[in-house]
Amino acid sequence: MKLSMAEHELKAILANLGIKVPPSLVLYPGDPLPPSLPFGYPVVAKVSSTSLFHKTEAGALRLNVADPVELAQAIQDLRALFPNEPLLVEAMERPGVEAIVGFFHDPTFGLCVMVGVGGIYAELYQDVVFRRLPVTAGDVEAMLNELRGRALFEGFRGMRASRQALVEVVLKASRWVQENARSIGQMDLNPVFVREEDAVVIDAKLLAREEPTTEK
Amino acid sequence: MPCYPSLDAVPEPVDLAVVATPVSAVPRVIQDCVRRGVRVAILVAGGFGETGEEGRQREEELVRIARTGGMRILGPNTLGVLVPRSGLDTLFIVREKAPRPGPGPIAFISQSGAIAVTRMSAAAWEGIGFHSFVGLGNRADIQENELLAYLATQPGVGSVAMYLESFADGAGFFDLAREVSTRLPLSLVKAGRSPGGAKAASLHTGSLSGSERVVGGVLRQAGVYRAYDDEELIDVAWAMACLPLPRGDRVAVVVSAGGHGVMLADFLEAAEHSVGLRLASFSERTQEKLRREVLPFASVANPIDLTASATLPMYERVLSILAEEPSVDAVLCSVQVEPPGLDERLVDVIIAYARATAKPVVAASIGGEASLRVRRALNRAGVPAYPSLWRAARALGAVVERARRLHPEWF
Repeated sequence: MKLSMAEHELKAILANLGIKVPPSLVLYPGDPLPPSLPFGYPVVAKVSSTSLFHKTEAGALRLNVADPVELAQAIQDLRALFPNEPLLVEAMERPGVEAIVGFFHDPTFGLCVMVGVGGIYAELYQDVVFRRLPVTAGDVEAMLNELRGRALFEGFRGMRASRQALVEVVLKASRWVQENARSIGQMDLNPVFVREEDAVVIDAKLLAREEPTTEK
Repeated sequence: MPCYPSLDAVPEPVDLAVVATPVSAVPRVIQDCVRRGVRVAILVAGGFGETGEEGRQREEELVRIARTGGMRILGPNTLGVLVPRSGLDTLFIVREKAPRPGPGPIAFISQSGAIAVTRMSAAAWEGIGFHSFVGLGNRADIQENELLAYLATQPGVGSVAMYLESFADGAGFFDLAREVSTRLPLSLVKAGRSPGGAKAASLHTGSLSGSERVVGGVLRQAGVYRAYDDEELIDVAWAMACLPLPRGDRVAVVVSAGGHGVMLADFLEAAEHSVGLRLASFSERTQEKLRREVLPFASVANPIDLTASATLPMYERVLSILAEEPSVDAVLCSVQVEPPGLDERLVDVIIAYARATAKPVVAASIGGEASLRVRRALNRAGVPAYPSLWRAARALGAVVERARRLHPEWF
């Protein structure tokens, strides 16, 4: 099974929707590394491929790349492992409260959205809440209130997170998924770093719909 | 009761046919029904869609025949229909084995006949009344969405309880329920919760979104109370049908047994195994007034413990003070007649109070025959009464949840 599009392609769409993604640079096979980056260090270098579901496990991700020398090395290493894949260099974003936002077709209710505690603990805590699309801002607020970890999004131990920014991400992504419901099977935005002033999508994956159905 | 060899021999027009023949005779009877202009046929027999593909085709054929005459089919494989107010009762379980409830506000739609008939008998025993029961059976034609839309237009319906193992049309149910739930309380058990249809998915979203968890979120979004068994379903449907909406979540607890007060306080607001309500904090003035009514050693902070020295006038006066107290949104009463100064006339005190106040009153009465009589009398008067403290607290919790959803500005 393959992803419908590579991470950099999906992120370009998200950016167009007004959803914040890290500043980035795409290097196709053979592209040289430019002498300077349009954003500062540290950066992340990763493989942006339709065949990679889990970059970390595949060794396709280099975090905290501190300077041009380290970046050149990281690019060289990734190209050795994945010679035919595009590489994505992104600014390393300041951390925030990690959320997961997902979309999928439920066999009973149709197109649904999931919002929850994201990042590496998403599968462990399974602290997620569901709604059928379309959703209103009120629906998304209610979802956040139902999370066991709702305090995370209300400012916890000095970590401030903009619920408003997260709600906006959910609403904008929801509208796009609904408009493209025939072709989209599942989408993960995970993690989304929710910070005091904004919410930025750190990783995004899209799966095509397996069998087109008659569902409305 | 007159009997006829066939439908054609019945002299009067026939509105409703209960078809209780073996499977093999059903198609012929359905044709007779269509010819006679029957409007609805209730098909009791099993052996159709529930047995597999071949049975499902037989079912479709029946619906096709029925459609030619504009007739509707309930079932097959259904226990039938019960409407206590009109006396319509097609259930094939005899009354001696399954006493029927009297008329009341609960409309009950169930995909399982056994769940419904046993639960209605239990409710009948408690004095709880039903508007109607419809057994869906295999839903070859009539399904829950159509029934719900109809029930929502019926003035006598105070609450709709549903037991479903699957949705005939989940998206349609969602749209309908979201609209209906704003004016009519809906509660639902969605049984069959163990992980079904594993999805060939590899994103996080796919692995986290088992249909069971999606149902929970979607029902909440639609304003439907989700119960987890048939007892909770009817407990909650009953409370929501009877009670006015509380203007907040602050509860006054009145007991004559200290232990009941302690447990009810836990069930209202403890960190675990509680319904997430709050104990009201009474004003000084109210505590002062209460103190004048009770014995010196009784508690006038919430929960109010009238102790085993409680009397009827004490209950009466304490309740009327609570009716005035602005910090109280609802009253939870343990109604025990064991204390020497109390007897079953306490029921009249509670009923008179419940009728006089705009705040919801829920009762628990635990024990043998006397407490059963207490609960019956309360339920018959429209004061929801439960045989356990937890069930009483949970029912009140459901009503508060509904108020919170419909009137967030009150909270």
